[in-house]
Amino acid sequence: MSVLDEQPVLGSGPAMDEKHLVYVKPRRFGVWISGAVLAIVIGQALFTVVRAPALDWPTVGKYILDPRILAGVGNTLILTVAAITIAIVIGVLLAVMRNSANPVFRIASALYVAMFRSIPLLVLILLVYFLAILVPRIGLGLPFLDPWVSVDTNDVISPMSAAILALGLGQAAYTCEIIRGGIFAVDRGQREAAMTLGMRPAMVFFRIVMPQAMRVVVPGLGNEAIGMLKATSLVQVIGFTELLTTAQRIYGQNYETIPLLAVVTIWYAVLTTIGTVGQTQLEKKFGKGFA
Amino acid sequence: MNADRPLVRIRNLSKSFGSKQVLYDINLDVGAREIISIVGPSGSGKSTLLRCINRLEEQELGEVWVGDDLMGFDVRENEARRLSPAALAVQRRHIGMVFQQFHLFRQMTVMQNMIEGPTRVLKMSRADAEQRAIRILEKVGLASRTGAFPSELSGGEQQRIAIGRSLAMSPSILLFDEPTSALDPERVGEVLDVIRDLAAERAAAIVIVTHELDFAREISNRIIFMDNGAIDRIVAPDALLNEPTDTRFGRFLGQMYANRRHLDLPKPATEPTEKKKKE
Repeated sequence: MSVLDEQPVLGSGPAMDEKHLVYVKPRRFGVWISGAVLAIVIGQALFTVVRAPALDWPTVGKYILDPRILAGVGNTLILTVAAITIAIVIGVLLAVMRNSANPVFRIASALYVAMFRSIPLLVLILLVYFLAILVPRIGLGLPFLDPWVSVDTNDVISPMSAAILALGLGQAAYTCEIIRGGIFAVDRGQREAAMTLGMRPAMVFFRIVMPQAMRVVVPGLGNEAIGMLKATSLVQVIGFTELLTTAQRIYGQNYETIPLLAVVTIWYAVLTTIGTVGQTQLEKKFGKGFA
Repeated sequence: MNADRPLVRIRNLSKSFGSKQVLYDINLDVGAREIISIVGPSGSGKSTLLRCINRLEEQELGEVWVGDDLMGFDVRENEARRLSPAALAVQRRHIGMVFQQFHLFRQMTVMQNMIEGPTRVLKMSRADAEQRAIRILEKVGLASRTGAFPSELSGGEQQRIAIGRSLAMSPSILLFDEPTSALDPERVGEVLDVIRDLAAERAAAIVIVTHELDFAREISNRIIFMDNGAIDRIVAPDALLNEPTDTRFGRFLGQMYANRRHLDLPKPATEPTEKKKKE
């Protein structure tokens, strides 16, 4: 007895001529209609923006390579690279601590992530900038005692150092989590194979685990780096002259607000595109061996 | 080191995973050039015992000595202090291991896999390490694949490279954890051939966990039958053929060979195996 219900015998229908079939392309009306709608929407939007009298293209052209704007672009890049570098170094450290056998390291890492993820970036930037009010002097010495050496906090905290510190320290919390995700993705057997070769834990991590984790980490990290590029515009609240602040200062004087914001937008788009290309290259590099 | 002292000395080893005890009071010696096969049903603790030898698993009770080292501990006078992971790594240098799933380093080519241990751990020069690697790769028949990534190789090729990678460290003992269980049937022979050659050379002690009973009988000095986390029997290889069918070991052997018959594979040879004839 079969457990299957009885089925009609396949091929018992009316006989069909198997020759002379004309294969007809399916008509994809949906694609054409949606394509047309999208083209109209984009076209109308471009038409409106490009033709808008406020968007004075000659003015955009005049400022796009203005030395002040270029200096602003440079500062934005410096800020982004410095902050992301700090974020990656501290992020890796936090991720290692989180996986440590030492419970103190694990707790410290978790506390750091919890604290910095709960402070809005804008608030963090302001807090670091106004650190001098909270902590007038930064010193070195024994806990709870008078420090041996100390410096005035205001001498250390400039708009630039405050911006780099706030962006870097804040981002490190997110970077830690991205790196942890990458470490989880590495097969445990890879670690064991390295251990049986007599590799020390640090060597296992930096030679085997981290290179393989990078494959998973790069897309997330690229995302964060591009996010950081634009998040640097937040530091205009403490007056550091990156791209946006520079543009604001210029239109504060000549009231060419929209053309200058267009200049800013174009530059961010250019930098983001470069970043995306870089990310693709990194993905290729770390994808080797993972067919 | 005392010449007639066994290389590996396992004393009263017991191990649990959580509340489940997986090894019960294991005692075993492995001689310096000895070849031992561990067989037994799945879940009997074979792999765990093997992994206790290089301390990939930590036991709760008992000791594992390899050469002069008490694995995981620094012995001074009559005190044993737990070693740091970095110091434990030094103890592992001369204990090679081959895994069921190969575990070649995926981001590295064959050659990079081969020289990673010698250059990073033994601080050998790159040129020396590559020279040695080529010699070993020739032995396992893969000298032409130095630039390939593991993902470009078949399972059998990956396992032969993995054996080569552990040989590159010049180990005094090699641990094999079911080295052919993850392979397609037609790839098993090429890996067994490599292990057979190693066994014939007697360059290192070998402990192999395997389900290939004929192969175990062919290469081993002793065969260990494990059941329910304990060593049930330690026998001479030929005892496999004469084991009565009413012991636990006999029933295990009967099942293994019955399975093979069911799969229409050749019956166990009564002469020193068919594989030999092929050569």
